[in-house]
Order: sequence, then structure tokens, then C-alpha cells
Amino acid sequence: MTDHPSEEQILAIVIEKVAEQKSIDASGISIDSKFEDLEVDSLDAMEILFELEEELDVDIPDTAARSMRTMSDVVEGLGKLVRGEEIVLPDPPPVADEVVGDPAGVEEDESSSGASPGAAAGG
Amino acid sequence: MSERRVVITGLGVVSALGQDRHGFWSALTEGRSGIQTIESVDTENVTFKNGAEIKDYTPADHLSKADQMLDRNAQLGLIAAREAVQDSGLEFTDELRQTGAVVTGCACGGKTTEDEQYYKLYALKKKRSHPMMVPKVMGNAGASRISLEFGLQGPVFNLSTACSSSNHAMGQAYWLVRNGMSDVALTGGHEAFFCLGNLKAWDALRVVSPDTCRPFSRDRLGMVLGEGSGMLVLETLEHAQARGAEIYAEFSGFGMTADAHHLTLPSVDGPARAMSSALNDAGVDPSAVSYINAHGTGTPANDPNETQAIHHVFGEHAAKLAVSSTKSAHGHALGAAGALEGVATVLAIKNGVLPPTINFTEPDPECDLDYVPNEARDAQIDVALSSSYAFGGLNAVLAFRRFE
Repeated sequence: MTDHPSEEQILAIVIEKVAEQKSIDASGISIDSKFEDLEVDSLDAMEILFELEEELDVDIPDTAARSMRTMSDVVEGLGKLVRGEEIVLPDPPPVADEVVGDPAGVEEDESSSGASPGAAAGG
Repeated sequence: MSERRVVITGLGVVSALGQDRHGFWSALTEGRSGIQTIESVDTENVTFKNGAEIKDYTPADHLSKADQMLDRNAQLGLIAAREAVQDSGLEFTDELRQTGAVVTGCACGGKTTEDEQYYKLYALKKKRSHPMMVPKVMGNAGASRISLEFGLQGPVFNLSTACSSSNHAMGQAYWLVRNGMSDVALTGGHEAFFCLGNLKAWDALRVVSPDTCRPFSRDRLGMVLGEGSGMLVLETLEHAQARGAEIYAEFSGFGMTADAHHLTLPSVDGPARAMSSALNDAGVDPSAVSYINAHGTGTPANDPNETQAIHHVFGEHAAKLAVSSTKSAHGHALGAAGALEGVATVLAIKNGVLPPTINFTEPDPECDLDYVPNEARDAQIDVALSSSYAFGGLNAVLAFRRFE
């Protein structure tokens, strides 16, 4: 099985989607970038992951989505999914103090705490 | 707590007649219609082909990339709210923000987004919905975005009562300011629902005209759907005068009733009691009223019914009233209808000009009032009513007074 995209190809797609979502230059984004540094908030992250699911035809489980906070998290996770592997989470996702508030408050709540998409909505 | 006087100090409009208050008013008084061929939806399988759509609207000209993600209805609300606030010259202090209200009317929510996304799921067999679907289609999307825009943290909510949504909303906002809950309120409505699913639903009701909207005219064939937003800044008279604001008119009364009669057929009693209730709330005699911006949908059922209700409330004075339906120009914007008509009524009072009922060709013996046919007329308007009578039998009437 060699017909699934390589991690390099996935990285290029992720960079493209992030750049599009944030209206920023792709050259400023690398595998080492963190969502926090790119000002990707949790709503941005949800939309980026949605675009990536559509593009790569994969389903990112909610628990895995919540733990994705850096470009390398996303690329590594997507790499596993396109190969049909499971994403194994090392630790319980640190969401307990973040699944609060409401979509409107997201930006302020998370400016210092990164941007996991699971924290985007309080219902 | 004593009641406070409430005035209107800012107006904003996006409509088929123009994308600001000036364009809207010019078109209304020049007798121009916003009703044209529907372009945003393929109407091949829809009986009617015309609507009062906003043409030449490019979201990127008005909104940031993030706000372009809003459903069209909320985009229009945000744009009109910005215009109204700018027009008012109001600067929100922290104190004003604490109790500042946003009360909107929007009956359809994000219909066009739903239509598009459901099509992808049902017809295109897409596996997932867009992650912003829920916040995008909620009815309060506009109210919430407007509260964020200006930092307003008091009563913020949306009302959905079909064609009366905006009048219910503006009435509530008026009472909030009058009763001291809020010192300032942004209120009105916004609606955008042109999508195949919704047009077919209206088609099935057999109330939409195949050509144009001719309220109170004998040859009327029904309503014409429209979209848009109207927004008003309300504040206490004291606050407006203290900052030297220009005052359009005084908001002086609100009445609401329910027919409890029939889901879609109007009654005479419900609208009549709503008008009387608004006049009572305003503390004015019916004889003081000189203009009514009618619900005037142009359907065979509404117009004679509304005419009878006016006779019932005003008696002999009905013959002296000017009654016009501006829906003939801006279409029936459902949840935003009362907002567009409220703005038209306030501008009529301020400018001393009666906006006409256009497309009027032939008097109907059952509609025997002065409908200001086809041409605007100069007139001093001391007190005016703006009426909305919704499907479901929900009636809401606003009273405005000239401010000297």
C-alpha cells in the first residue's frame, strides 16, 4: 500500500488549509508551528480539521481532534488515519478546564491556552 | 420606576431598494420598486419568478473574512446595525454597555445555509456537515454578533413570530429602555431566505404573486418575498439630548395581541385590538394619527381585512388617514418586514413625506382608504403607526411620534 499520501504531502495540505483559514502566508507555517502561535483558535481549528477530513477523506475522532494543538500533531494524526491506523492518545486530553463558555467567548478564553477544537462549544 | 421617554437616533438599512438608509428612502419616495427577477435561486420549478432580492451585494465589500462566514441574514443585520450606530454618533461607554440591549426579529434563521448543507447530505451524499453550521443557522446569530460588535451586555435576544418578529422585537426594546432596564438598545430585524426549499414552501401556500405586489389594489395577486435588514438605535430622550444627538422621532407606543382564531387567515378583531393597544400605550387618541404604514401584504385576504380593522379602530377618522404599504417596493421580508417598515415610518415622520403604495392600478370597493397610490406626498405626520400581522394570528403594532 503506497497510494496514500506521505507525511510531506499531508504537511503541504495542512499548511495550505491553515494559511487559507487564517489568511496568512504559507511560508510562515512549518511542521514546528503551534496553533497558538498562528492564532488558530478553536473555531478556526474545527474548520481546518473539517477541510482536512473532506480533502483526505478521513474521520478524525473527537478525542484526537481535541488533542491536536500543533502542526505536527495534525500531520502525525492524519498520517495514521490515511494509513488506516488508530490514533493512540498518550494521556487523557487536557480539556477539563476548557469545555466551558460558549463559541462567542472562545477567542478570549483560549488566547493563552492554545486551540483544541473540542473546546469550541459550550452549548 | 417612572417611565422614560424613548427616541430614535440612528437608522440602518440593507434592502432591495438600497444598501443604506439614503438609498432606501430615495427609492421609496421616488416610487421605485426593488422587485425583480430572482437571481440567487434557479426558479425553473417555482411558480413565481420575482422577488425583492438585494442585488450587487458582495460580502467582502462590507465584512471581514470571519464575518463572511455568517449566514447572509446575520451579515445583513450586522451591516445595518453598524450603519445605525454610526448614524447615531453614539459612543458606547462601559456603563452603557452593561445594560445595552440588542433585540432582533428574525423568523427564518439560516435557511439558505440549511438548504445548501442538507442538499449536500441528502443529494450529494456528503459524509459531514460544516462545523459552523449550528452557530451559523441559529436565529440569534445576528443578535449575538451585534452584541459582540459593540460589547453590549444587557438583554440580548431574538424573536421569531413570523411576519411580526421585528415589530415584537422593537416593541420589547422600546419597553426595555422606557422601563429603565437598558439606557440604549439596538433593535430591528434581518432576514435572508432565498433558497429553493423555502421558495417552494411559499409556492405551496399559494399566496405569492406571479408578478408584482399591488397592496390594496383591486387586481392584487399576492405578496412578493423580500430580504433585508433594518436597524434602529433607541435611547432615552434625556441621554440623546445630553449628548446633542439628532432625533428622528419619538418611540411612543407598542401593542400586541393574538387572534386565537386561525393559523393563516387573519381576523379583524386581533389587528384592531393591537392598534388600540399601541394607541393606549402611547396615550394618544386615534384622531391624532395621520399615517399608518400598513402590513399590506397584497394578498386577497389581508388587505380588506386590515382595512376593516382600521375602520373599526378609527371610525370616521379613517377617511382622513394616509395608509400605505411599502411592501410594494421592498417586498415582504418576513421577520425583517417590521424593521424595514419601522425605518420607513420614522423617515416619513422626520422628512414630512408619505411613502406611497406603488403598483396601485385600480381601487377595490373593499379597500376604501387613502393608500397614497403611486406617488409620495408631503404631509406633516404627528403620530404614525406601523403594523405587522403574522401567520399564526400574532399582531404587533408600533406607535411613533414627531419630535419637536
